[in-house]
Amino acid sequence: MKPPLATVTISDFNGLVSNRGRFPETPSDALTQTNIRCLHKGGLSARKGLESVSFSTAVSYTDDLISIYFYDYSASTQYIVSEDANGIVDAETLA
Amino acid sequence: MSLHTFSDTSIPMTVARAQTGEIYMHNGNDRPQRWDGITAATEHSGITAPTTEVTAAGSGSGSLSGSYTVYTRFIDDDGIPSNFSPSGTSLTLASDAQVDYSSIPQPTAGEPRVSLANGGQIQLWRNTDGQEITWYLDATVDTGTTVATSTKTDAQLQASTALRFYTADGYPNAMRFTPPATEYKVIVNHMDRMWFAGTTSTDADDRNTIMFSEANEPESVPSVNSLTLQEDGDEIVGLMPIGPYLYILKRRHIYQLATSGDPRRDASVVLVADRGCLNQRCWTRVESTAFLLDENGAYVMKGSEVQALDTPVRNFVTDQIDWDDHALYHVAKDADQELVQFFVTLGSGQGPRHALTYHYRLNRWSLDSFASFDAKASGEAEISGVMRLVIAHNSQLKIANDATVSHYDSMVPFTYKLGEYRLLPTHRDNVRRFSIWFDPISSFSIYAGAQEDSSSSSSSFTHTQTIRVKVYWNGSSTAETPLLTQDNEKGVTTTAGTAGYVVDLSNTEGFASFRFDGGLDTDALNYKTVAFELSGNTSRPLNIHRIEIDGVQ
Repeated sequence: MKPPLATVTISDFNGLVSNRGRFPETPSDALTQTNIRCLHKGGLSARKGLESVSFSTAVSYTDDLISIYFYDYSASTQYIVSEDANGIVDAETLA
Repeated sequence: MSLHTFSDTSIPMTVARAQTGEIYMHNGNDRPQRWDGITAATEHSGITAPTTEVTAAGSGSGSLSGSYTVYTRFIDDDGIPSNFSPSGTSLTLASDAQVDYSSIPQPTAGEPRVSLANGGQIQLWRNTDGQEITWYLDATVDTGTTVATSTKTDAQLQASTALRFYTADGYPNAMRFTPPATEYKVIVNHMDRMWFAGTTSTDADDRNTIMFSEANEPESVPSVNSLTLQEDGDEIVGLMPIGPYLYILKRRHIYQLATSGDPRRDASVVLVADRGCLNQRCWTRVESTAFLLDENGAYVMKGSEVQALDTPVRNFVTDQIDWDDHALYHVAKDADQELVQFFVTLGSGQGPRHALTYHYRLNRWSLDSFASFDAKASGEAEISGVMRLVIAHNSQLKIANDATVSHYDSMVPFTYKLGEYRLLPTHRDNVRRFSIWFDPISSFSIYAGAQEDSSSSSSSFTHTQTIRVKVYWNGSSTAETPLLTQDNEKGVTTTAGTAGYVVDLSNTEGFASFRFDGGLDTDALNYKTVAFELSGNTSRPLNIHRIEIDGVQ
């Protein structure tokens, strides 16, 4: 088989370059790049899914969390959150 | 452990920790709170001073003579005091034996921090005859006690705890314990002081003002501890401490504040950037570089040097981000993956459900989409010894799946579309082929319906990881639909009538390819450009290493 007359090679993924319209400046520009990232040169990696953080005790909130603050205390990581609608400020310890 | 309930929930609180370990919370509308990290509830930050004066009179026959002024103040069980009472009580003694104090002012029910149950006390301070520079602790009673006596002579007073009314250079001393003002929604710790900014007051004079506490006294914020910046038609929305500087963030300007220890004496403030910040949560720091988001987009600042960051994704900034709804926007660092994420709303009527994501080592952008989840807050926490980005997804705290643990119940949809390439003229030697190299992924078991934004069922099935590659000709928004159902034996299958070439990632060679030369398509001669879109759903680490497209340029 004869080699192709021309080949575009994309190995150095250039990330999302959406400001140029249909035609990229370099072949490895992406017009859309959602939930897939360039985490190292020469590769694309899908975004990892999300898992719930583990707490030292069972915790559940009823409203959206709008503030998070983490701090170290007594060799553990604690956090303070505030909830949206009910204004509750809560402090817990990560497992 | 529920610590407190703010009455106003429209503004995210900001939190700062003092050197002593206490944690302070401000939201600009409710009275600021402090927490010691141990007890089951927060308490007010700062102690409100007595509003009435004690009654004082001499009695008996003795050696006490002179003119005095007596002040009272409250003190909590940690020794943190309030200001003196407002004007003091005048007292004249003439050969009296003792001073009788009565009607000692008491804290209100709204000041539980100095209640009797919490160990609160009331102090009475008296000067010596002939001077109004220094006051001395004359008596201390428990909260609830309204009378006291003292037989101290001036010499005995001078041996007691002393407190100047003003410092030697004229600043408040006995009256320096003013609690932090409620109106400031931003608090940061910088150079042993707490700094406050971002007023919710509607008084235009206040929007250029920041306040700061006394050194190592985070709850002492006398009115003289303030700085007012020049009026520039803008308002202060945040504070950013980096190294020796405190950057004062306005919507469209940044000022750099420097001080060598006493801001009242030596603070210098200079304008360093005509960029700004949307709110206190819209900046983060990577090493000595700050990443910020203002109404003109994302940028970096190092020292006083500012550089736009978002040129490759300007269309998002100008066309897609809803700039009317930025109160809940935030910027976060994911040190584990070397990313800075700008959480914004695309469209309107919802919370931040997308993050423009920037890899700060590779200078690469991408977009994260969280489907129907609102990501209204984020923070960085050490988890299993690694600093991880934690995102508030509605009412839950979440982190990225660690590939080493078995949390494979959240499928993430991804899309990657390249631009259009010009096709070479049709020629028998000019093969048009799409090739892709990837890390093979073995088939795995997953719960039915598993998506990170929805509950999955308890039944599982075997999932073979694929990528669907769609082909778009001549700038069309409609992908080509293959005419045949076939397996090309190079890891790619098609289904007649369904758009896309399906790449099987379980292929252990880590390679697949397919021809797109339209050999079966009589319109091929008319094709000028071609574009490719890769998409799929995955819950496994999915890595693509190389794509080659033959026959285009």
